[in-house]
Amino acid sequence: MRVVLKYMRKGAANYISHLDMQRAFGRAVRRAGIDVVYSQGFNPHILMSFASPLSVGYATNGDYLEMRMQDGADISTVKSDLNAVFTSDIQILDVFEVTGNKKLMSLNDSAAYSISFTVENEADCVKIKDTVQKISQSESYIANDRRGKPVDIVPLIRQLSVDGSVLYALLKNTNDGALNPAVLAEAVLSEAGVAADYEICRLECYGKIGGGVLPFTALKEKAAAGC
Amino acid sequence: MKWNDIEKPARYMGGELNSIYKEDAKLRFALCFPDVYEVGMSNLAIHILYEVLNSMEDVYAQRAFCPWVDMAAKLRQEEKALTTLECGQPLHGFDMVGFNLSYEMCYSNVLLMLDLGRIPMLAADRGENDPIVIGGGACTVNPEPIADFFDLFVVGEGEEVIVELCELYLNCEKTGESRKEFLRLAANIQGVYVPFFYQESYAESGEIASVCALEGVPEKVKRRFVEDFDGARAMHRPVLPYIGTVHDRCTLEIMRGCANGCRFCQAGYMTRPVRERSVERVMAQAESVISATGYDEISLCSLSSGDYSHISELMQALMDRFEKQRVSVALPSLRVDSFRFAEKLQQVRRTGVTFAPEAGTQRLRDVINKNITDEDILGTVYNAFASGASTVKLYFMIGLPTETMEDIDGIVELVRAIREEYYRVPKPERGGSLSITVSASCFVPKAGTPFQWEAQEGIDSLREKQWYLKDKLRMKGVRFQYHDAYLSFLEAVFARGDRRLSAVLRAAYEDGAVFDAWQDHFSFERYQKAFEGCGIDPAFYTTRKRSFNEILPYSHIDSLISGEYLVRECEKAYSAQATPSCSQKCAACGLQGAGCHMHGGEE
Repeated sequence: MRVVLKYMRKGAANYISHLDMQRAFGRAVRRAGIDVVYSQGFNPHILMSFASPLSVGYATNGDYLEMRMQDGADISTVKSDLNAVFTSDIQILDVFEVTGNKKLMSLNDSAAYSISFTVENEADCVKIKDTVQKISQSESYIANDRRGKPVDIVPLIRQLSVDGSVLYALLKNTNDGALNPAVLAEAVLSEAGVAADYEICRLECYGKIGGGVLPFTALKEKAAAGC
Repeated sequence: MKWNDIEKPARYMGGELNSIYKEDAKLRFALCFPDVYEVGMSNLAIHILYEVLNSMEDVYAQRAFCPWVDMAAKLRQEEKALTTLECGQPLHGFDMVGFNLSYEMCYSNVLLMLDLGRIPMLAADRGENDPIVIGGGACTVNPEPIADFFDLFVVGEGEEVIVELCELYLNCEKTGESRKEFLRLAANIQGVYVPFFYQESYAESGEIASVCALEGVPEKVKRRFVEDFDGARAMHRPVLPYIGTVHDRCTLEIMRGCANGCRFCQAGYMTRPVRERSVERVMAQAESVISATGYDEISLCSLSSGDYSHISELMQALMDRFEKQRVSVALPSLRVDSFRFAEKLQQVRRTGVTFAPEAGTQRLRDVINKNITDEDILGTVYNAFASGASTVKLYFMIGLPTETMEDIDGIVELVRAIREEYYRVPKPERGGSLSITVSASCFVPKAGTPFQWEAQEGIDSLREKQWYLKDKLRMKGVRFQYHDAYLSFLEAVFARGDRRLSAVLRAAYEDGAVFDAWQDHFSFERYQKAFEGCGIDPAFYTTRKRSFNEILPYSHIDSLISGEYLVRECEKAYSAQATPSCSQKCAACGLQGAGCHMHGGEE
């Protein structure tokens, strides 16, 4: 059976790479004694895949991974069993069974982020707010991606809003295009002429589910409804 | 702090599973490893001592590793001190700061950590409120080159001494003893060496004239070992790193000491007597570590796991117990017979075999007492090839005592013979394409071995031999790797050096030396400049042959291996006479009847 786990991470866990995150989950599953399905071969590993890799340094309140458990396994204690063997920096928020065979990864549509700037004063907040508005209203806006290459970020932005020193962004997150929130953050800071550090947290991942765009938790209802 | 420009920030974050947090404790102990996190977290001693110390109610041990160059620069730039992972406390705020000294080339990192930790670098400059700086680990066989930087060393195995030191410290604190009095009392614990109490003088030749123990401390410092190794505290809940480390698996220590007596091997002698941990205890430990970490791989740790008396029983028990959890058990390597043994177990992938013949001819292998024959090697590789393996790794040393070009040619011959064995296997039966990796390190004479009086071969001639091999080993499917001769030269300086080298080390550090074990960061010129500045000729420590009656810089440290035995072994080496393993015949190394239980501890 396919089981989806929604999880959060914070603190020290923010600095784990995608590969290390996979390993951390694999080990937690073994510690907790979860009844998972292993691959065949000389190096059996847990059949597990993440919806969308998270960059080093980012926190999350809404990331997803799926794993295979033995058919008929009891999933009601998976959440508490895993949380008991994780540190408080990684915790499982939800566990549910899904039907069908489409990988979460192939359903990705967009992801919501909060970008919290550590600003010096109120004036900087205003500058950031004005810049975000300007970018939102532009037909196109060329920013430098993480390798320094120019990229038009406007088509990759679904929605932006500012609350105080926090920028909320819903950004495209598909195989044929995704915007890393740090690229947006750097573009905003440089356009606004503000020097500030920032922290990024992924708030939720959205997938193309049942003809709409919904948080992956919607798969739970779908499975429950028997589709 | 902004982490965007720091490589692998997880190195500095702490917060890993099984980290220990205490409110506070009377004695705060910083366990330091002078290399990056990934290397330090792979060190078994750090994990054992972390558990031993933290099991003491009044002690709180926290970990600190050497910051990589980017982080070191950032700490300097932001004027921040180096801190521990658990509580982010600067090193200078600890009562005790202990360094694991596993290899000589980490010394500059020790200075970096003291410096960034804001601890006065020289022991002589430390006052009542500064931490007691402790060194332990393999290098304490000869701690003289770094004696100026340490308040005390633990010579030998540390898990018992460290407890005694902490108890003494807590008592001294209660009674208000001075730092110096604490050190004097500490110096009377077996295994504790306080350099301050031992003064050396030099003869005109540069050799040591005498080493004088001051009043109130033993004349010789005796190495310590754990008598009841089976019952000794092992690691049970190791801290689980978030990021991949060098040895990222469950490591089970099954044995200490080695009975083989390879004459170049410092570890082999310095961990004697041979002691085994029982299968039951190892199994219980495995159980505990796997359930505390979720590791999917187990490996056994000892100097020669093939010699562990219940190796088959243990391997089988581990595989049976953990098969269902898909935990794999890695085979102990190095021994020729281990491949055959592996086949018996029939649960391994047959991809390759690894040997450490160390020398190219039987004669030279007899000189170094490496009991492996060409027939052993060729027989084993043939079987391996016939069962589908096609990868061979070979480890050699060059520059060994009595070595001639014939021995170097022997390496080439052996590689050639191994290739022939491969082609002797009918094509349909043998595995893919043959790959032989030949690795040659430069011999470094080490303290406490029968070769401690030997001259190291000069850099130029070592390099010539490397080039010669490189040329001769241009064969299809053969890859040749060799060590930097300059690095081996420096290692040799510190391996048998004396206290005058502390100044050299400090000068090199101040000139930027750090991470010397990392090829990209090592600069021989820096050290050369430091030697010149201090008026010291490094060749005095490397290419100079010592006489048997020279007072060696570490002669006041009793390694428990008798000097007469070492001389005997050295003389046997010259006549290419092998000494059988202690399991066959006692060679009277000094531990017979003094903790060694082979042959009932008798000769």
